[in-house]
Amino acid sequence: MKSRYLWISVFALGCTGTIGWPGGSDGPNGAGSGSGANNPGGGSTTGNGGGGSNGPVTGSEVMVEPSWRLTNAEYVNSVKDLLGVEITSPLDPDASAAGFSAGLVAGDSTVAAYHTAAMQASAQTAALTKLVPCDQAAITATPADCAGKFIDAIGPKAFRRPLDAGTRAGLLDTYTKVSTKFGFNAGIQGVVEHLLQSPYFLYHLELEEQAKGPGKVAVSGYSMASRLSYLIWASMPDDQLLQKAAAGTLSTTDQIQAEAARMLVDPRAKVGLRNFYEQWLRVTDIPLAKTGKYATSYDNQMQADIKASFDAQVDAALWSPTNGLTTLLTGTQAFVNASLAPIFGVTGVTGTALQPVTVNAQQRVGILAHPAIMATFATANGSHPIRRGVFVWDQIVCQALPDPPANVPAFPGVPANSSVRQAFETFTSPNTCQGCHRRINPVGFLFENYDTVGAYRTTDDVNQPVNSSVTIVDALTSSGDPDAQINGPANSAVELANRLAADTSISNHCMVTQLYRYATRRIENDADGVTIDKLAGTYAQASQDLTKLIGGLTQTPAFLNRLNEQ
Amino acid sequence: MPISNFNRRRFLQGLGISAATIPFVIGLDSLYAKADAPPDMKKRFLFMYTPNGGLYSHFRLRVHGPAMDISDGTALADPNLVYHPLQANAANLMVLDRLSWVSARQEYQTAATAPDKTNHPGGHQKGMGSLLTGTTLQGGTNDFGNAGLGSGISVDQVLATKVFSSKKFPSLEVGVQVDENLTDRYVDKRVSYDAPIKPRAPNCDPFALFASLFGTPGGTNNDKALRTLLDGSVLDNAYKDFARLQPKLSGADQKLLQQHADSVRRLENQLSTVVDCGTVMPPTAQAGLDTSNATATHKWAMTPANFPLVGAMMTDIIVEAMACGLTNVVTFMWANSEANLGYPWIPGFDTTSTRGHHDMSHARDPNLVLIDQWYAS
Repeated sequence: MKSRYLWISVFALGCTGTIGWPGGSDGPNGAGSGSGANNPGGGSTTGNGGGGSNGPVTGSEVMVEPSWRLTNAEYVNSVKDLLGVEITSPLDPDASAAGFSAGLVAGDSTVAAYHTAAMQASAQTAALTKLVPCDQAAITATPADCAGKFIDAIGPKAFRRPLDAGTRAGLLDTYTKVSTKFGFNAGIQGVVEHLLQSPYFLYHLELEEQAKGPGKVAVSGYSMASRLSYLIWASMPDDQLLQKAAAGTLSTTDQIQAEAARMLVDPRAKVGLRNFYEQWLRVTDIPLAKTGKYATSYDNQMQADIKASFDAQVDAALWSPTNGLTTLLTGTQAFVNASLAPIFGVTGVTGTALQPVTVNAQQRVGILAHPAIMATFATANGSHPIRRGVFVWDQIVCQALPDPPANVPAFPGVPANSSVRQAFETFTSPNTCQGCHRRINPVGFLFENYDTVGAYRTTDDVNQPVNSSVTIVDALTSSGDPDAQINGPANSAVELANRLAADTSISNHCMVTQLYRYATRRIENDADGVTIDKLAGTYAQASQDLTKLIGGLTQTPAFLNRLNEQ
Repeated sequence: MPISNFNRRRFLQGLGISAATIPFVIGLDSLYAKADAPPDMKKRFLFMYTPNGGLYSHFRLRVHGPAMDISDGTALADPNLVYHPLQANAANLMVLDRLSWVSARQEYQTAATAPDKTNHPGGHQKGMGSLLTGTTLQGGTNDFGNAGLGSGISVDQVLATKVFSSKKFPSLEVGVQVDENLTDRYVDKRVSYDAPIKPRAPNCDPFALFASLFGTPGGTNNDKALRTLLDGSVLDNAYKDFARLQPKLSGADQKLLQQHADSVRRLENQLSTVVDCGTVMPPTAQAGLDTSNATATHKWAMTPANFPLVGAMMTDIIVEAMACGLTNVVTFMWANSEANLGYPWIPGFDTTSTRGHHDMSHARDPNLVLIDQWYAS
């Protein structure tokens, strides 16, 4: 996420959020790697050296060039689906593109982490034994045959396409070298480690389409199976997808839509879309500790509880067949256990299991004031109105703010007899700051009612009364008109949430935009804008049914095509 | 200031030697007393980085002329000096002063002077990309969060690849709670570079680092032989998969995957090199921490309250790895350049301060001297 801790903007040209920094030089056309204003995730250019070449060239096709490596979430989910094994050993952190995690260049630490993870997987003998398509007698009698069968069964699944002769021979060679000295099981262990460290497993390869040469190519078959599964499940295709790919029945838009519909009712879809919304709502780095009042009560367990509570609430809202986003923004149901109950202002909850409760709608509604978000956009012991305001503009309104420029003095702290709000108001009062801060501050101050972990309060971190009366300005509709409904006086974060939910031209459109970025791994261009408008319309007409939105996404030009390198 | 506070007293105590405190490039001759030490100096490079700079007024030694020989310790007598805790080791200490870390300034290149003819603004975190590479930054969008990355190989990697490549670990990158969120100010979190915009990630989990250096504690000889055979066969064949795939890929993909393949080859070489370090004690886990659970140890290592303990463990591991000859080159980052940590474990630290380390550095907070002295001790 963006941490704009202590810096303010002196961007003299104002703060339109639609233009990048002057002089930005981030690639041949800048679109994919993102200029500062448009790319809330920092852009792919810093992503482990991917350079600026990851952007689309023109039009609205996905250009998967260079090929993406699996993100860590995709890797973990894929290993689980392939082997039934949960990888817990830490992987090299992902880079980012368009505000979402991305697998770019792999270095020594990436490779070392994959090696450790492969060892963890191959040590799960019981799980692996189940995958060998031979009984013990057959293994004893003809071990090499069984190894061949194992490779033929698991190899195409791991690599998401049929094994070519050379690759199959390579896997068998690994088996033979190891089993000769250490027996069948050790040989299988070797095959599994090999599979998990092979580029065929680790990369999103679209070999059949790439072979067709430069320009726009329709995606079908095995590559389409992977596109669908990594979009909807954040994991590898299942047997049915691979069978359809083999049979050539993953080509027409109807065939693709029908598969998507099947996949969306599979439990894996929840896991897959969680990977989207946790990044969209920036809760992937919830702090592990707090200081001050929460120094002892906020520990690793509480952090894990907050994350689980967040997932439960978003799942319940977004997967609801109607009013998904509205419920996400304004619903009064939360999920708490005994240790979270005080933060949510709920009494009578016991035990460690999360339970659904109804919160006091005068104090909090929806997800924006959830502890996962409030604790993330805060200091170790206090609120941080600037970070909270920027979060809403970047992620919920999609009218992103540029990064703070250089030469910004540090926030001097809150003087005596001043509230946190007053201190930030004074600090950001110069005209050079106001271009952006007239937008940031009011939205951020609405969240002064929530402390460093998101508990409701009426006095701030320096014991001054919270004043959350503000006037929101400068929000535009999705078509760029200055009359967005969220503008105007507001008195609480609850009011903001209700107004965001009512103004679907902003909230619907923004969520759809974020999902589109997630799916295409790039910032949208002008041609994509038409597609996004249409998708936002689909979502609205379907009463905010997420499955209809995802189904629609699989029918877009970006999803159905690829643009090969010229 | 690019001053490494390598000289921790613990480090020396752990070695049982009296002093070895040259803060930049050092020869740890005495580390090899137990081996057949040749008469010439051993060449080792250990670069330790501590965040947020320091108070120059307390760093500076006001010496000149003959007094610039500080070996008798007199120059470090003032208890307010950052280097005061090292007074007893003054004979082995060389203090570098008057270095100018231009790149750490807020704007260090303008369109008039920059090779790419654009301004390179951004905060002082950018200095990290230049510190050991001696280069300006490249890539990024010239703003605060995304300033780009160093555009060249770092000096530790020059040594690792040109001088010490035969070592089992040509270099180690070690960190103590280096922020793992790379979507914002990536440059802040890396000091070592393979090549332009290709930084190396520090290992921040002492249990994982120990296992990769000395092996997982326990295990039979048969287990070890199997592991060696597995690593050799698997990584060699995985490398061949890369080679087989290459002709099917576009130019951009070929380049991307070749870098990955090179790393696979390096890992294979590293794992096949056997170095016997004898019995090395693994870090002692706190009660309740399951050291076989990598997620748990990683989380524990990244929890702010454990900062000093993680740092001590890492220091011990580095000493053991260098003493055994596993590596000659180490970069050791204590947090990242704008880390906003509190240091409540330091005696005398004003725990009522609401400022973290980074905010203190802007405010010239008196706690800074205590922090710097803690790092120096």
